[in-house]
Amino acid sequence: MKLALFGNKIVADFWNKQVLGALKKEEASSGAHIRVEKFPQGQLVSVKDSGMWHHPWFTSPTWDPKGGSTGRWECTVTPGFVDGVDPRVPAAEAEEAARLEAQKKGSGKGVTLGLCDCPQIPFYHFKAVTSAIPKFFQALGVKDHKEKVTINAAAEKITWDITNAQDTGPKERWLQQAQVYISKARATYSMDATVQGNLVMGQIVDYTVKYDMSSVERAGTRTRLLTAGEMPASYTPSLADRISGVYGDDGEDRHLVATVYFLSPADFNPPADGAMPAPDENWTPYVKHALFWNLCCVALNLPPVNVKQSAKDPFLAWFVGRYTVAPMATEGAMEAEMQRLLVAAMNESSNQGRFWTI
Amino acid sequence: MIPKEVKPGDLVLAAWNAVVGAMNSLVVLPGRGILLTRHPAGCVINARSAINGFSGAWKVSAGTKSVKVARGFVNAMEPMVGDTLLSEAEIPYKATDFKDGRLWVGIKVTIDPATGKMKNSTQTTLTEKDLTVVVQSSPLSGDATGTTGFHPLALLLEKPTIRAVQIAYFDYQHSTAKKPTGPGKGYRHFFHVA
Repeated sequence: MKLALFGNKIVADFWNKQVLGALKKEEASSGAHIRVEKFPQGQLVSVKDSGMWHHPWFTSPTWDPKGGSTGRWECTVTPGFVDGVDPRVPAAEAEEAARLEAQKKGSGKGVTLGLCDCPQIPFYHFKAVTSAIPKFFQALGVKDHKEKVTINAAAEKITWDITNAQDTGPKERWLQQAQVYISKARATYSMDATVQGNLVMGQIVDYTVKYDMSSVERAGTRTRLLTAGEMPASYTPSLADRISGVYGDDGEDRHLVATVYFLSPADFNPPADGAMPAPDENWTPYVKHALFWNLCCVALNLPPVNVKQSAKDPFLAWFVGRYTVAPMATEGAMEAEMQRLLVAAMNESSNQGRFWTI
Repeated sequence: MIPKEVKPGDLVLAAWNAVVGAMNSLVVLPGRGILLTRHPAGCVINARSAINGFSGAWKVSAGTKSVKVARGFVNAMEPMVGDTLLSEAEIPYKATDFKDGRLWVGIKVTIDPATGKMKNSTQTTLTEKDLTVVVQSSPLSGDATGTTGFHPLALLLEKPTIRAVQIAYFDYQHSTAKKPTGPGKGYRHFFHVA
């Protein structure tokens, strides 16, 4: 395309027909089963999912204008199974219980809703994503990498009037996320050791296996489907933790189902105080799935309860010869230190469960 | 996104910036189900064709009195229902089989407690009875000794109308592991995706 100049001016008709005409040809249109969304940063082409087969745990966010006080984002999840049972959805149970109470159709206590009941699952918490922005959202303007266009007017020998020039480039957008995950409660265990000095046999190590079922008593054995701004990380005590006397984890095995990202509209301005409001209906949701198939899970929930092992059982007790001849107080201190290290070593493993797809 | 037309006397830089913005907005970005390949001559858009249904193994179809299960394999063997191959049989159930409105359709494996393997596991004839598909009101085998294992294929829901929710999609390899001593000792059954 040859630039049409009249003196030092660009011919307007050339600009309108040639330049803008060429741009119009690049606009994508949606055909069968195709959706085109237009952003300042590009044209997003997607396959429409209506009528498609949805894998287990397929998460679909929806805006409910009647949810909460001013509307809220919710999601539905295609039923998935852990050990052949669909998870409970406590958030939906709470909503259903409140609805029943409001309609005076009962106390609402004891309502059990599983994924097979197709509940609407509200998002209560969101997390602003300000770092490690996925490239997909960078392309949609979440992080402004726009380089300003510089024009060497002298080289082009065109008179440019730069007064009142406006930046028409894409505006920055903001991103928040909510995560959907499953959590299965299980027992935790820890081991206590007692080192006792014995003049004849040396040190005798008694140790006790302690099982804690409190997470199972609190959450039940059925897997739960939960939402949060970010799925809580599993806590595994380090060696330093164990030497400091912290042994057990939180008794929950978790697996991420999906991360739902919410992209702000172009005209969104975050508050000056940095407190991001919950996304409203003008934000656009995108789902990144992390789980596609049903699961089995194994964790030990049937422990022998608080069985103390001692020197009476020669296979389970440890006999350690006295390592020095020292005053009683020193011996006691050494035995205490030995006991502390033994406990840390014995608590190296946990009862953390494992998921696998079926 | 396409800028407005210009008139003689309009500022050039504003029009130029508008065109740059429009060019940016016309970049094609791949969304869900789209594979985009960029070449010097342009970009090629490949779309995943819409799938109306999943055609994996063990597809369970619920009727009002029986279920039909499409062919699937465990250790490369097709389970039996009575004396009939699974893909040729229908599995009957009664309304009273539902517990809390739920009924599971699943593979039932019986093993030899001495070896931990299916009896006659090399047989693939119609007399094979150690690998079958049954309906039951629990997803568990209910066998404390571990000589039988159960793997759910689908959950039948009674209300509002009877429907099947698919659980299994793949063929399986079956294996067992001996549990440590204690409650529920015996064998633990594993069904791995084949």
